[in-house]
Amino acid sequence: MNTSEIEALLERFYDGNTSLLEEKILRDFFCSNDVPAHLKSHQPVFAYYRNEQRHEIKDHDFEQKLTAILMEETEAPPAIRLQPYRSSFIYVTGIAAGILLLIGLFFTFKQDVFKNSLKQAGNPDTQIAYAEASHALMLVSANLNIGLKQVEKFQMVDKAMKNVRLFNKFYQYQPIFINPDETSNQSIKSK
Amino acid sequence: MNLQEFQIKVYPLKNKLFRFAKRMLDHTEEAEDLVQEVFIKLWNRRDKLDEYRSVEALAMITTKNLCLDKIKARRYPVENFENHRQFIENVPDEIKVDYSDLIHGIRQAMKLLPEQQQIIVHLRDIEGYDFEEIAEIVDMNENAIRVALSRARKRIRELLSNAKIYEYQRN
Repeated sequence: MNTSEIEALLERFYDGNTSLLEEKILRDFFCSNDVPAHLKSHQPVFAYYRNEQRHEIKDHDFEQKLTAILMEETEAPPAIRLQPYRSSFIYVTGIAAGILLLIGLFFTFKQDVFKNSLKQAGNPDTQIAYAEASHALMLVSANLNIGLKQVEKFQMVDKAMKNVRLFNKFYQYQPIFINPDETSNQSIKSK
Repeated sequence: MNLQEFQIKVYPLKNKLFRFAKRMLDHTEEAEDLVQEVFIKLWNRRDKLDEYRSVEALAMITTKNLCLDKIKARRYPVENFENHRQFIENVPDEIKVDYSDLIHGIRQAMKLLPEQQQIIVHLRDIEGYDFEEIAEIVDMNENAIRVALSRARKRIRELLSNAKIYEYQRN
């Protein structure tokens, strides 16, 4: 095939109008060793396509393994396959962990509530302690009142003392009344 | 269809399915696993396989759909660490020099195409399917496929010349 024919084919190739046979001709041409210089830029792509055709599964036991799987598949109903569950396993564990966490939180919180209510109502020791304390305080206040009554008696003494002070004044001025001339100067001075 | 028939009729498709899966997934092990999955799916429909006009087209469609599911389920793009040197065979010596770079360049160029175009180029230029078969696999009419194929081929050519991947030839 000459160069001009190849060029025409190439043009049609890039327009998507070549047949499978023509494309094979192009590949054969570009994978040969005598490609004219001005067409060399097209060579690698065709070489690449040809090379890609040779890719194969490297695992030599692929078919054997597959047959084993297919035989297993034939025995078990297809619904019980593990594959679909594998992805949902993560979600299921996540949800389970979440529920466990909630239960754990619920119980720790609830225990606190129990403890507080027990302290407030149920414990007999605290009740006794409370009664003892209030009893003791009542005693103290009662005795304090008795003490205050005694203090009131002192107030009587205070009143009496006022009268006594009147006597004092009387004694102070007594000499003036009895002998006004002698003491008038002194009393004026002392005032 | 019994197992023996299945082995004779469907097993030989394994490399085609593998190449197709590898093109889409860009990962050898994943592609091999996926081909196994495709075979299991087909085997589970073994009673109905005879009703299909072409088991091969059905297998390719199943492969395509499973690959699309896998790609959708991916959270991160897969890095391609594969060594392309191992595939060098039957290539003219002058290209062989830089062939691993070239293969990488062309592979990258193909990856830049829209998914549908990648599939069409693969089916046509690598697997050599006729337009009727491609139409069945990708579910498009033949004219649209021709247009997509032409665009894809031109785009690859353009990408490769932009990348100056042919520079080595001047020396």
